[in-house]
Order: sequence, then structure tokens, then C-alpha cells
Amino acid sequence: MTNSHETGQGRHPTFQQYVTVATFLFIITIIEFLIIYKPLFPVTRLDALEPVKIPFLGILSTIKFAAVIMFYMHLKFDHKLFSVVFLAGLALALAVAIAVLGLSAALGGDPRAYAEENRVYYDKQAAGEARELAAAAKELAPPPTIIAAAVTQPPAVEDGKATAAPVAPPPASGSGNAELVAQGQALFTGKGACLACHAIEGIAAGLVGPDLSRIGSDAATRNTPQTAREYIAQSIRQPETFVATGVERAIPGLMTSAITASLSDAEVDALVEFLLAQK
Amino acid sequence: MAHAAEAALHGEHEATTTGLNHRKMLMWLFLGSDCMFFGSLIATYMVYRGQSLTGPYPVDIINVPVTTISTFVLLCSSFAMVQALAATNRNDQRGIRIWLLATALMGSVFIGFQAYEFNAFKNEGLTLGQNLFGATFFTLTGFHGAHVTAGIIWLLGLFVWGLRGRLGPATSLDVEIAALYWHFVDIVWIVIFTLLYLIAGFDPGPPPIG
Repeated sequence: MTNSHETGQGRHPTFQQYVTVATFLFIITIIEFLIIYKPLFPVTRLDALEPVKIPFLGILSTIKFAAVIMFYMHLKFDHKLFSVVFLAGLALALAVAIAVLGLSAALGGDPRAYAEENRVYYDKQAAGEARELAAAAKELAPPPTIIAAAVTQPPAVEDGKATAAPVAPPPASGSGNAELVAQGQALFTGKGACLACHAIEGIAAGLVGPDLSRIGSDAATRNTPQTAREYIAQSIRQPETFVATGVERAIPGLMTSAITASLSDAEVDALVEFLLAQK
Repeated sequence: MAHAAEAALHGEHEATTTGLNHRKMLMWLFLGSDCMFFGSLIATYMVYRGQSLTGPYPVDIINVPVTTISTFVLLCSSFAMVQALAATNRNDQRGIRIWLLATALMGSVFIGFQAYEFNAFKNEGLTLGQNLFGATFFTLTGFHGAHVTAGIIWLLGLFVWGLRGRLGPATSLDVEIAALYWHFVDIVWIVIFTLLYLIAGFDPGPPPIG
């Protein structure tokens, strides 16, 4: 006879109690289904629960989880050490899950951009090429200047009222501000990680997105009447808005605004200047 | 060491430091570690939610009503497993065989639903390598399905033992340990169903262009 002391078994629930637990689990599952199944909402009107849907579902499934563990798996009636051992594993699992999700949230919810930025090259040749590109970009780029001061002017004060002095609008087709261009190139190969997908002759060799070697000349024709500057700026900030047709590797949905979200406005300006210079 | 193993073989009670049976403790420890295994796969799915570069996306292919049915089937199989253990404890030989077979059959029905779903997804263009959704979804549910399959084989093995009259109150621990594994597989599915189907099942792709 298997010693029940040895197996640490307490009393057993009755058949009726097991049926009760099973019915309880069924009912909860039905409720969960009703909460989320939109086609049924005209009848059930449970769409009112929409804002609290997720915590509610979480609580319901936790209840089911606990019911199965405590009754079917008998943990409620067994020796406490079994509970300790299992719950320790469960607690560790939850901690790992929370840590992973927290890490993803800390990276702005986009692990891909972070990974691109910090990629480790396992292929020696690729690593060498990347290092060369980075060194070349550094040579050309002067120490970063504060773009805001160069572009805006302090508001003129007249009669006690501050009026914004007229700011000269940047030229539509690019004037080749060398400093900005160099900065843009450094961003293209560095923080912006554009080189991961795009190619520019002599600078980058990305094969995921369109080749940008002639974008300075082509931009004005892509989405008339949008100017070249506007088109490039929009392609960086909100790439989903317009994707050119007939351009090699211009695939909708690939480049998202999330990819460039971490760039400041000044950095985007520098990139635009750099790209306008690619003729 | 050898003495303890011999004692266990001959049905005597080996001494343990906790006073609790080794095999049962092993199963609970294993289940604790399996929590971590599934926990990391589920967390990976959640982290990569909405990160797929290309379709198909969950809203396109996840079928919640059909999966709700398979969830019910798995819940029923847990009930059947409980009955199998109860039958073992009261030496109801016919009950042992019926309930063990019922559990294994319902588990197989669940696997049938999974196979149907995987095939339907494949036909819609979602494969393990298609996008992040495919990778995380198939890894997670695939491993769960593998766990269920291993459980079914285990139960069928027990069923064969039952046919030979080797299951009864004296060997109820064997059935109990299999039951623990089976119920665990069920509760993992509860978590997967809630997260992947009820909550994330309607995840869309990126907003349309233009």
C-alpha cells in the first residue's frame, strides 16, 4: 500500500467536488470567451468591459490556474513542501517574464533598433568593413554643433511684446551646408543605423531598402508636388505615409516611424541635408 | 545508495530526508522548472508582439472560437485524469482503463485541433520562419503540443499497464505522477490561450500606407 504519509497526501475531494470544480472551470472559460468575442457583443453587451478587459481576463485565468493546481493537482491537501517547490519555480518564471518585458519597454518597445545599433559582427570581414565605414564617417564629421542656434533666431522684443523674428526658410533643394552634410553622414552610418538597410555608393551597402545614391536628384520627382526636402524628411519621420512605386526594394511596411523615433529633429535635418547632397 | 534503489524496486519504502516520496518530489520540481521554460517562451512572444515586419498577423488568422473548443476538450481531459486517479485509489479496474483511455483520447483530440490549426496557418502563409509572430507562436505552441504528445504516450503506456492489472491502490503513485504532469500541461494551455488568443489574438499589422 503506498504510504499516504510518504506521498504527503491529505484527504481527497469527493466526486461531486471534482464535478463542481470542472463546472466552475467551464463557466469561467465561457465568460472569458464572451468577453472578447466581438460578434456576440450586440447580444451580450459585454463591450462595456473593453477598458478593463485585459486585467479581467488575467484574473479569470489566474483563478482557473489556481483551481486546477489546488484541487486537481491536489496541492491544497498535500504536504506544503510540494507547494514551496512548485511556487518557487513559478515565481522565478514570473520574475524572468517581467524582467524581459521591462527590458523591452525600456528600449522603447522596439528591440530591433537597439539591436542594430549594438550589433556584434561575428563575420570578421563584415566587422572590418563596418569599422572602416565608421572611421571614415568620423574623419569627415566635425564635432557636433548645436543646430538650433544656427537655424533659429531669438525673438525680437518690441514694445514689451515678443515677436518672432522672421526665420529664413531652408532652401527647398538643399544648399549643401557642409557641416550638416557631414553630420548627416555620421548619423547615417552611426546612430541612425540607416546603412543597415540602405545603400549609398562608397558609404553604405544595405540591401533591404532602396539605394539612396541618387536620392538628392530623384527626391523631387517621387511624390510631386512635394519638394525634395519635404519628401526626404517625410520618408524619415513617417515612412508609412507614402512609399514610392517602381523603385527597387521600396517595400511598404518595412520601414516604420518607430525605427526613426529616437532621432531628434536636428538629427533628422542633418540627415536630410546629407541625403539631398547625394546626386 | 544501492540499498535504497533495491528497496524501491521491491515496493518497500526507502528513507527520504523530507519524508516525502522521491518521485513525486521530482515531478513537482520538474513542473517548477517547466514553469520557467514556458515562462520564457511566453515572455518572448509578448516582447515581439507587433514587431513583425511582414504578415500574416494574428488578426488575419487566429481563430478564437475553434481554439475555445479545443480548450474545453483539454479541460475535460483534466477532469478525466482526476477520475482515473480516483478509480485507481478505489481499485476500480474498469474505471481505471476507461478514464485513462478517455484522457488520452481527449488529449489526442486537442492535438488534432493543433495540427489542423498549424496546417491552416501554413496554408495562409504563416510558417516558423515567416515573421516574428510565426517564430514565437509556433515555438511556444509547438513545445506545448510536444508536451501534450509526450503525456499522451505516457497515458497510453499506463493504460497498457492497466490492461495487465498492474494498476491499483498499491501503485497509485504512478498514476498520480502522470496526473500531475497532465494537469500542468493543461494549466500552461490556460495561460497560452488567454494571452495568445483572447488578448493578443486580435493584434493587427501596421497601419495601411497613404
